[in-house]
Amino acid sequence: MEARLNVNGKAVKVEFAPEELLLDTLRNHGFTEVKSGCKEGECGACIVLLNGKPINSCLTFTAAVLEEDKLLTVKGIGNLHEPHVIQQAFVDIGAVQCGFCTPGIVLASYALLKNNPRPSDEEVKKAMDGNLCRCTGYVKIVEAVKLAAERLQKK
Amino acid sequence: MKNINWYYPVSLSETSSLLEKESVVIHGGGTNLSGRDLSSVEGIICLKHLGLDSVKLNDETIEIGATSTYADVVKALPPEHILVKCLKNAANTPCRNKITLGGSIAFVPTWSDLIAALLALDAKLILAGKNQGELSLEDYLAKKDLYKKNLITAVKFKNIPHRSAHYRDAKTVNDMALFSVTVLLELDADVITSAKAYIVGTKELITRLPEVEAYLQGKAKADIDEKVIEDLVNVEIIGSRITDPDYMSLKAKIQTARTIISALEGD
Repeated sequence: MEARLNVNGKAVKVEFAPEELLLDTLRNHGFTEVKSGCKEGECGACIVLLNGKPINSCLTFTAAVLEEDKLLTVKGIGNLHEPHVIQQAFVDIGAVQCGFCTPGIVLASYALLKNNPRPSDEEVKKAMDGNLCRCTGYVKIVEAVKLAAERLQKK
Repeated sequence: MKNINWYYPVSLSETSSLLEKESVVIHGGGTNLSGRDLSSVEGIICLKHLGLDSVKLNDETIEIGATSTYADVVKALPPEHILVKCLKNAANTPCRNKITLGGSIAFVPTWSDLIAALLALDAKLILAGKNQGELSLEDYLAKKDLYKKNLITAVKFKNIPHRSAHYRDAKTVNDMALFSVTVLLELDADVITSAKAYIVGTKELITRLPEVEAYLQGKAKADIDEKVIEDLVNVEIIGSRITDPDYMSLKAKIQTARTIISALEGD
């Protein structure tokens, strides 16, 4: 099958098998920042934002993503040279250990802060309920999200 | 691997015609289908263009489109509604953004946080396709095979004032429930006028507790003896993840009593 996906604000022409999952299609087309973890919707490494909402790309058929749907990967919010406030907060706090879970967690944070600019610790934890960090660095992650919230408030 | 055709119908009549084909499955949110063996599937019907994702709320009834997600429902209904209590902690955030009500009703997993709440609300399904019309959820679940060529387009129920509580027994907060207890009460002042209690994850999958319901009828919180409720709950909790069924069955007794008290306290 062929389709035109909107990824990070750009139209991307993709080819994929009918039963192919969005995770594989994105990675096959260079979006390797989307990580492949448990492949059953538990770990959140493959999270992308679909129309602003975090979803597991491992539980999403590419064929079910429509041309008008907007996909966002972690590289769509910022990059090495121009990091997003959330990405910078993760670096500053030291919330990145092995880094495998980080793209999904940053995107979950991004979606949270868009809807709730001043989350409590509990609300941050709740928003991360679909993300597992195998290095178990959760304390720093919560701190980083809170710092990002604070910095975004001042902007 | 045989080729799978994707269909994107734009009307219910087109969907109904597609459902007559052999070996087609319906795609709502896709969370269940994506983990399934699709080797015998020839076609997938995607519901995204049908506009079945609205939640209509008025004083009399609540009608939820089949492709509304758990997150949509949690956002649209008041926080004290039984469906919100049941769905807000189901699965995890990205999954709640994908799992649809229609898909959950069609598949009914053993860890379902949805089905007991809908049964307690006497929910009706609106079906399109071969046997189109309205049908009680109870009848649908009893004769699911009859409705294989049907599409659930919406679920509706009365908008009744109620108190409720939902307990999910899981190893971690975002794990699938090993069993769950769902209680819906209607009260006149402090007195229970109607009680519905269910345990999901039993040998029968869903067990209603009529003896418990009868015991609660006409009582106020002060008249309720948790020990009596525990004695009235006799269910077998089973499942591949259950290592000690006797312990879990005992736990179900205790948690049923606590869930009822929690509902009365308005937690």
